[in-house]
Amino acid sequence: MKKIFFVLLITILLLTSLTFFVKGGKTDPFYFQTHRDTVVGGPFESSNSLSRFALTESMILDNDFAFNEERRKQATPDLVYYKGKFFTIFTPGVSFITAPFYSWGLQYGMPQLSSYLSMGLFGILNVFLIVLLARKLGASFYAAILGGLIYFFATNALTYSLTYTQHTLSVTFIVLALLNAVGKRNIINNFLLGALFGAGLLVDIPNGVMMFPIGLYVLYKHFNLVKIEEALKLKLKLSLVGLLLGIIPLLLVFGSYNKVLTDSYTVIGQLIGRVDYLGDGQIKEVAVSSPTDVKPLVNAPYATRPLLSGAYTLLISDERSWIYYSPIVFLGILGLFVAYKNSDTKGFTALVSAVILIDIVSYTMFGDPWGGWSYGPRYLIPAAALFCAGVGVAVQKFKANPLFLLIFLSILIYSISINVLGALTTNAIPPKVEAQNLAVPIPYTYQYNLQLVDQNNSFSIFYNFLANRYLSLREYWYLLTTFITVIALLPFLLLLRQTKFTLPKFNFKRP
Amino acid sequence: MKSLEFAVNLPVPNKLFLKIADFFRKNILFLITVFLTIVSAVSFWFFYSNSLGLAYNDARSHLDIGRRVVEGLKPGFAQLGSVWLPLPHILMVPTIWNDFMWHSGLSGAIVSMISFVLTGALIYKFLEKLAVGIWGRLVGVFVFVANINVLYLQSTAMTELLLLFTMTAGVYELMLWHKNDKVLHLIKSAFYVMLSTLIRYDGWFLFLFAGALIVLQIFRSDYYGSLKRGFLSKLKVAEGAIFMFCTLAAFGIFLWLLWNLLIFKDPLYFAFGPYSAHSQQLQLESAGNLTTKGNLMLSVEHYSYALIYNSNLFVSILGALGMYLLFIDKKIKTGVKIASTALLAPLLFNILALFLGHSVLFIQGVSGNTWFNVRYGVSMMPSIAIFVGLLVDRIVNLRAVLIGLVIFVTFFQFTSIDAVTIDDARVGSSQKNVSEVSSWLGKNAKDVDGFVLISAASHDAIIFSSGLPMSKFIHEGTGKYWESATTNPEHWARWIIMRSYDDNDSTWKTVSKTPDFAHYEVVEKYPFADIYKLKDEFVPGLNTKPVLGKQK
Repeated sequence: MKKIFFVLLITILLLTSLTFFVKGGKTDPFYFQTHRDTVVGGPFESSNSLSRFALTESMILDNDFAFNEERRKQATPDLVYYKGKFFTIFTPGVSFITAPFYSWGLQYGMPQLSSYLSMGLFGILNVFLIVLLARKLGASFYAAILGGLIYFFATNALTYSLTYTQHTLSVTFIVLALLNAVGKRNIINNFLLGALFGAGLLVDIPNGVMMFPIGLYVLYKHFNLVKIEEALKLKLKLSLVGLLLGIIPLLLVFGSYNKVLTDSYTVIGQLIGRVDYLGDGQIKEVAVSSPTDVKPLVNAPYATRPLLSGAYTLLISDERSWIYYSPIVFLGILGLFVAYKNSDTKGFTALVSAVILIDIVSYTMFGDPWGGWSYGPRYLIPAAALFCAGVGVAVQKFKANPLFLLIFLSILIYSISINVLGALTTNAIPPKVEAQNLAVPIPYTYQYNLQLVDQNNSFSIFYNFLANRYLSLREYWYLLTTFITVIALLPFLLLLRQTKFTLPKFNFKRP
Repeated sequence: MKSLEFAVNLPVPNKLFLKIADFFRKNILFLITVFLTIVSAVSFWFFYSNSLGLAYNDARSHLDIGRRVVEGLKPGFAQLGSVWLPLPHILMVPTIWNDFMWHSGLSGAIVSMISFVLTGALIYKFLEKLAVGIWGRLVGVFVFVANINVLYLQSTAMTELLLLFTMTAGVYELMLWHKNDKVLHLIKSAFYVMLSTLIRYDGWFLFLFAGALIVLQIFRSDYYGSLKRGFLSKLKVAEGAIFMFCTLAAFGIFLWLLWNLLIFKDPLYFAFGPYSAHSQQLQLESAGNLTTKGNLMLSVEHYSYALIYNSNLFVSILGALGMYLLFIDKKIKTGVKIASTALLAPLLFNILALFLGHSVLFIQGVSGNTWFNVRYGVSMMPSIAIFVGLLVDRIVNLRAVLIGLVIFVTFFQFTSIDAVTIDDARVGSSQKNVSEVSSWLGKNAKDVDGFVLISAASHDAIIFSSGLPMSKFIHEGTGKYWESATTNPEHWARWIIMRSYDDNDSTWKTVSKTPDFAHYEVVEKYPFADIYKLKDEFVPGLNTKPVLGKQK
């Protein structure tokens, strides 16, 4: 009963926190309901969001996947032109899933708010999915909740739950798939897993890569080699067919979408390439950034030559790395190590690690690890989510160690402050090479966000219509950081209640 | 609800299945060797058919050196020259007399290919001796074999693969000696180390390193008596072992010093002569291009880049983790761990060479806009493969994850043709597009009597690529022909190939000062060299036959 009450409390606090970040116009909170303004800091600042939103609008308002004149301009340069049609380069999953929210919001003149709010709600759902994941890794209830909150507030998951991009939903499907994978392999679970796989692909193609280890693991669980007298029998569970039953309908949906736009079930926007829309049907092709300058054998999105620079960018550099944007994530390594040492959770930890590693490795091999103009390593949000589950385990294990607590608290507060900063201001920080070559150079780190804070430049409705009468944006930022830190520390304090403190030592052995 | 199961009978009865499994278990090394041979041959064919096998300037030079031993105006083993150690060229001699074997590069490549197969087998054996299970051994071999840089170099007449084989064999036997104290392994180790000292100077470092390890092992191992009983007795044992080891292992070094003394009148001619790496490095240093000299951090950084680009970052990290596990593994004897430090000898040697200014390495984007000698990073591949194999073996529950990721990364390495050694050969400083000069020679000098005067030290690639017989060329190694041609060129050289106004080109340096030089006209100017032709009125006075006979 106490736990249910605590979960409800956390949910309310999460929803409340979200309201402090929801974006609207500076003078009219409903400005973006009718204006597709790409102003820095607004909900449409990035074409990642706008292009997907254009698809949602096109579906609901125009009954068409292809874009009219107005939407072509909105979606550019995340726009494709093929056989006379203009459409988004992205897969349609985000638009399909949030379309009901758009429709509902349209009735009340708030289609943008409702669509974007759905991302926030999925972000909150992710918190609890990560709680479940952390429990599977051996974290106690409060430690698991802590892990979930750390994911939402101390990583760039917060900033991206305010956007209309694929990251939040990707985490949802990946974590659901992981939780499904440890379940019994009956036809229903397999059906659900197949559906999750298909939905993941619809949201973003690389989800297929990240969920591949899960698929392989589940497939493996269906086979059993048994020695019977002089013969060997390979036993195969028929429930395997559930995977196909789950994935095929969604693949058909995807295929049908492609068929409508490209006249082929398998030709997708990302294979065709981007164009800039110049108006009146005129286009300019955008050069494809290849991962390497050598002509490859096949056109694949990954190559090993950029691995070193990609790893540097995503893990170490001040441009995008976890070290600068959410160092708390690294404590997850400790937690996963602890979980791995536990024989009950060893296998599941290996599976979680596989998904983390493939996320990191694949995006270090990607031609654009920066993710364009973005905040922190946005492509590593799924890995961050899984690591945060591990943070819960680490805190569970080392909660009595004052040195660990000191490190944990320091980097937790830092991580929360940086991500609240991003959520309040902008997600669109350019890569270094672009930032320095702008007509008016801007910083390529969160220094840019700090500049915006000092200019009191935020599109937070709550700030612009209430808080700014009393607080500068900087003070608001500090206050929110404090508030969110308190929320995050609630489960932590409950965890500490029964802890006996010891001298600093790291003991990896099971009690 | 119990899950429905569908049972399928495998078509193989258990007994036969076990027989097959047993066959594989007993013959796995043979099967791996066969597989590696096929991979080697296919790789050679692939790179040869894409005209990449001879892209390295050095590969062409190595082949020419081997050819000069058997064919030319002054054939003989003296053509092995100095600076480059002789074993790779000696091994070409049985096949390089054949024009196809010479001009296809197969004469040198076949040595690399055999070395590749043997190194792969050695990696398997090394891991077997470290008690690594079958999966770990296969992954270790895979990491080495599925490296596109290794596959490329093994298809060329470069010396890397031969060096890798001999060094790995030397370390393997040394490890076995540390494991079971049988003196035969020490002798075998000395033999392979000796071979490596005749391939590249990395082998000389291994010789010193191995020597130090032997002394250490004797002092720390109770097998050779207790240290408490007497330091002197241990010292005697160490002395004996070192003497036995060095007699064989250092023999190659001794022979090389002797060779330089006999042929060039200076035992250190290879180190300080005009064509030595030292001279090259001096020039680079004066041009400000020897940035790693005296800078340890930069040396470490540059070599690390080379290592990572050759193996890819992911495999490098796995290798580092595997190395850590090897050294903390309580199941492995301390002596074996100590011996395994020799697997790091290539790393230490290359960093030291960069630091001392004896080596140069350009990494594109880090030290300029080109590649040079980045292939040195491949020296650690057998070691990395062994470390990765051990890692995969020890971390049982993550084994499938690691194997999957290695396959994932390797797949995209191949699809993106990420081979930094090929980049170095094609567009880096190791390449020389001399096709214009060599094509001109091939077209205009082939069926016309007369010699070509050219510096082999500067233009070996032109000699190779021209397709003309070695006996067509007068170069530094042709003794009296060279002496005569560089003082009276109009009597010997119908054509002169040289880089005008460059005193580093020994032909220009000598010929440009002779009165006969006025009797030549420039017929073509190309980026790497200019072509001079003897004016028609002086042709009647030209010697077109090798009249100087056999020279000593």
